Amino acid sequence: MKNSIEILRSGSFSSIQDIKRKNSRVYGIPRSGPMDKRSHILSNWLLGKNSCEETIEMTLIGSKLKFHFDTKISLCGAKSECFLNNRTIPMNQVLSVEKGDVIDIRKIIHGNWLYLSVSGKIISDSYFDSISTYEKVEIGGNNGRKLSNGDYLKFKPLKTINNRKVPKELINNFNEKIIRVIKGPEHKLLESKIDYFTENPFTVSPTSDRMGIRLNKVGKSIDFDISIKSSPVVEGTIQVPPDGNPIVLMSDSQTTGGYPRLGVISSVDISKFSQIKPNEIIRFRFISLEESIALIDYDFKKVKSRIGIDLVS
Amino acid sequence: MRKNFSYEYLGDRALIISVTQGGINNIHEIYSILSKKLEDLVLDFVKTPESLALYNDPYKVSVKDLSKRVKSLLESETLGKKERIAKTWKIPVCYDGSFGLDIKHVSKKTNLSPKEIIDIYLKGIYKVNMIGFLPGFVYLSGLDKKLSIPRKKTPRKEISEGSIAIANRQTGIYNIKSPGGWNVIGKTPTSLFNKNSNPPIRLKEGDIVKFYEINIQEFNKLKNNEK
Repeated sequence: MKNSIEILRSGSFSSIQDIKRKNSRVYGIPRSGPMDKRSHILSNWLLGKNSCEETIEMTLIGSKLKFHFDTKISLCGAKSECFLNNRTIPMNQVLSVEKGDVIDIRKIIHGNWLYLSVSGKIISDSYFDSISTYEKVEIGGNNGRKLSNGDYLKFKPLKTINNRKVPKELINNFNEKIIRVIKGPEHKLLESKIDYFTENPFTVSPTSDRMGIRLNKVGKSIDFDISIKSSPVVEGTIQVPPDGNPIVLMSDSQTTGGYPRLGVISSVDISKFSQIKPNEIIRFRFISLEESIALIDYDFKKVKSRIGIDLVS
Repeated sequence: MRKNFSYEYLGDRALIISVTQGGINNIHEIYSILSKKLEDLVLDFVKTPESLALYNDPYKVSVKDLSKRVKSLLESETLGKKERIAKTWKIPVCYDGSFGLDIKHVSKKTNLSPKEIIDIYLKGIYKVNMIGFLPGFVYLSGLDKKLSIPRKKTPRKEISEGSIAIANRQTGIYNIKSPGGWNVIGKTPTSLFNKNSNPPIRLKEGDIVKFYEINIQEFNKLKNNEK
């Protein structure tokens, strides 16, 4: 098929994601979008695409894709074993792909989420302005489903630009495990036990998914039998269920929740947090809303000065 | 009407406006004002019975600046101008044994027979309290306290679409297949959530819902008509 990519191997969970969905939460429909927005944005920047445009997100074992047209691609995010016709290829730069070439993302090594951007626009029905895939109601790209063996993605090719490379200082080093958090509405209800959240670390649970990342207490967990009226939640919200093992809501987050909201991860740390692998240790550090806003401002200016784009979230 | 709002931040990514009076009508009204006037600044809204959440892109507008805009907009508005007339929805429900997965459990907990449970349930006049959590999930208030039992300790991994369930003083309609911890007592063949219509859900917060009983033959017939 002309201007298409054929899925030879689907991988663990590969899906199309963009940063465009708007006005859907009022009906209980999540915004979705990439887990690591920063890497998504960088892979689009490499090809001269707008930050919000779609990429293919992969995790654990990536996809094997056959290209039926000449194009350019880029790979950003989790450090992965990437091959073009069985030859290793680098990440964080522009790569040329010819008709008949096979790109194989065999294994994700450091981090969880890899982004493949293609110099083309995926032809797909959009839903609330977006082609982010959300399988529960089958909306977004690839008929609302993750990639499966034998699927074809059709593209409208875009103009390619001169070669770019992601500046080193903008690449995640996967070493940072301290996550900055702004206090949440129910922080006070949990205050007597706040040391529990700051003194000892948590590990990332392997049962996490795009809806939420579950954390396990290192050492003994304590009970929090507090429930609240169903209240709004957002990506980055740290909920505390009765067993004391927090859940951090992510891209496919529900719109409301009944567990106390300990805090919300600062927007500058969500992408980094999404890449922390299962069983790795993380710690929370509380910062004020003002500090978080200042960090966002700094981040925005830094990226603007290095690569000339406006960050989005 | 006097304006009684309180404001709260949800990290750097959302602003929650709570109303202390006027309830859902007030929420609908401020939603209709703010969704028009702040179209470029707000990504999403979420309504609860007492609050409206506004979601911002923190790289475009800080939640503090958004809050200033909202306050000045709401200052200049007179609220309580138009009361939305609540619609009444009559929804068929089938209590066939294959659908009422937890009716025996409810019966045990409430000391009522399945027949009594159904009779009490059908007499109820319910109000749409909230839409959300998952796509199209409808929270209805007004469940008779005789039927009030807690959520199940271990949630089911999958509850089929159309399932009608109860927990505490609420009843809910699972409009899409999803995991869930409520006690399932029946099922409706009518799909209230259709991703292809605009808006995808026909009920609105504040609407009234009454249920009527159908048998399995009628259920199957209605289900086929839906397709």
